[in-house]
Amino acid sequence: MSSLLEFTDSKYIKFLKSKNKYKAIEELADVFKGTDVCSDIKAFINALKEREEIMTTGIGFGIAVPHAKLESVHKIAFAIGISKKGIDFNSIDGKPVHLVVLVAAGERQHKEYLKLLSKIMSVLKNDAIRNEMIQAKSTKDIIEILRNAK
Amino acid sequence: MQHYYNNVKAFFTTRYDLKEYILQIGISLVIGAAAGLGSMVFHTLIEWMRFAINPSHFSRYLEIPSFVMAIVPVIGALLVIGLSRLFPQQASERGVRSVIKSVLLQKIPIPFFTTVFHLVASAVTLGTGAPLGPEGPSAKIGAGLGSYISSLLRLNIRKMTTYTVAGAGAAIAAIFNAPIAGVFFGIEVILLNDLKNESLSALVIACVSADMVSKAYLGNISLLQIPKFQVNTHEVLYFILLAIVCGIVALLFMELSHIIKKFYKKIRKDDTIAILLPLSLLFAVALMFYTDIYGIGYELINKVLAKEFPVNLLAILLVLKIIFIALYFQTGAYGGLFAPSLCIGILVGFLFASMLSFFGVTLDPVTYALMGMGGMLAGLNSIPITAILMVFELTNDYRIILPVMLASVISHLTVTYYNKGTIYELELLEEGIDVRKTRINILESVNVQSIARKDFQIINAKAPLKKALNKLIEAETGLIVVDDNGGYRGILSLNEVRQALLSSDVVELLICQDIVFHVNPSSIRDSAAEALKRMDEYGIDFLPIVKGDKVTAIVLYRDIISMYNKIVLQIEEKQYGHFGL
Repeated sequence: MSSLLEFTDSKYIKFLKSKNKYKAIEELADVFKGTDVCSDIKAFINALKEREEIMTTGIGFGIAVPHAKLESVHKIAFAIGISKKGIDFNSIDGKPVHLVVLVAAGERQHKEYLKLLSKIMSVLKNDAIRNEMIQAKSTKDIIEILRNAK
Repeated sequence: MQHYYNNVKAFFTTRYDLKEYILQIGISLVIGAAAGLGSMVFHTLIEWMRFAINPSHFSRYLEIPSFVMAIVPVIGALLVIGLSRLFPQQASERGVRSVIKSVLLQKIPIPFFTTVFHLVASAVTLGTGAPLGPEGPSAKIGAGLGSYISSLLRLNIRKMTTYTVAGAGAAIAAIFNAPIAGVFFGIEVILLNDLKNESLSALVIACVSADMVSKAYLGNISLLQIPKFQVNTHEVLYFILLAIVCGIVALLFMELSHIIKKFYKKIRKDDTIAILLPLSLLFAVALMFYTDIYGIGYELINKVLAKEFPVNLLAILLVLKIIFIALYFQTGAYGGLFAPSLCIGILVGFLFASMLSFFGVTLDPVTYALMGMGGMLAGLNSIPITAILMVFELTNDYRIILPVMLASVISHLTVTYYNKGTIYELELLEEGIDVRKTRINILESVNVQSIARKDFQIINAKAPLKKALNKLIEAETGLIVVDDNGGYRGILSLNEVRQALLSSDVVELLICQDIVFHVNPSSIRDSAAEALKRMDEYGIDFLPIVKGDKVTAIVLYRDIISMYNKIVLQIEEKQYGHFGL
């Protein structure tokens, strides 16, 4: 799979204010409003919340990867949310989440969806990259980190 | 240096697709060479027998009257009947049609002994003068070798089918020394014009490889000696007229064949091969007066092109050829219709041009004979493209392409318009196999419930993927994903999870609902045909059967195919008894 940058944009990166995980999901999903990624943001947020209710996507190390496949998603993409204070995501290690990577995919983009998730996970597994992203001061910094990530 | 070596090694070991690709080229080359060699052995046997026991040779060198040697086809018939009686199982699968059936029904691998049997039985049939062609047996031998090599390499059934097709086409390429025609024979006849078929690249490579073997053995010698000819494009109306004549002659031949087939069934029911004996006696009588109808017909073609016959004799030879080819073909003797079509076509075309000269129209009979060859080949065998290319490859002269294109396509259209299908499609239809709808027709009468299985595994949509993986490893097929109330949500098979397995962290992140495949299930009232169609659309190998929103059973792709094969075999046994084809 090609670079992660192909699936995101500086517009999809946000420094989050919310402390609650559902509010944070809403806040971050809103970055897709008015873009060609998703035509029904409300349905998308509902799907993300429903999924979150079944099992947390807070996988520890301060990361959460909420994700959903939906008919109204026309283009596979991901958004990045940074929370300096941390969000209670009910993570598996009980620690607050500082980095939220929200993945949106179309109903039939099964392969691409898994490939993207896999690529995101392999980048976030790297402690240095993860910490750099959490410490980033601007969207430009995040883009630069992703550009350099292998 | 080491760096480059490592790079190359890494390239080949990590690129699975590339390895597959290279392997496919390698296997195709080997199968092509094997099919080419098989064809050359077959060709040599026929040629040797033709030379050794040709009535005209004997009469010339041993001073034995030719009418005594007309007994050769009778001896041949006795040998062929004996061989068929000794090996009834192998004898039952004859000709091009049996290759199409093997590919269509995936009745593969073809046992090696069956291939050897057909090589010997066909060489005896054709070597002792039966007026049939070598292409049916060649295709059978090539297909058999392709299938045998695939089974030695322990390839799966899909790949075996691919190489069976490649072997059949390659053998045709070798026997006619015409690689392009071999490729198109594979496409038009064996694959029934399925251009999207994955066998295509293997077929092309195998044909080239087979032709190299054939050229190394035979040299560049063409089967036919074509004298100089002239193509006048202003004669286009006559071209079209001849094309229609070819189509009509092809239809008449088919009609005659049909009547003979019905007659044979009436008198010998399931044992039409036994008719070879009285038929060969009749043929022997005809040979006493017209020795030129002996054998495959290449010598006759060359004599016609060399203008050795008067018009009245040409007409008699044409009628005799048509009658005896149809009579022999319908006994189920080991031989094909390609070479006979060429022979009939040459006679039709030459006669056409010669007869028009009586009305003051001067046409070059050689040009029209060559056109007739293409027109007849296309009309009789439903292979317009192969016919064009074969005539081109046999003549090696591009000027003939335009008239042959017209002759082939118009003749083919005339036959298909009248018959509503190609000869192979119609023959298979008589056996209950509708290739136009492939398997769908037979399976429409089978209810999906009759082959359903109750032993399936379910998993909750909310379950972690890790749990599903453990279940999948134990399950024979995939899993049925259900909601909290047991309602059907979709399926999960190894296909869906393969990508997730690339990263163990992704497995931790996912639940079944994230990757469930939403498949429209089958209902208990659906036919197996509908279920098969749906599985083909989704590219899956099992389908849930639901009542309301609850899954009651599943149906497997392989169970439907095995049911289909069983039904086809039952139809065969019912209609044709022991001698199947």
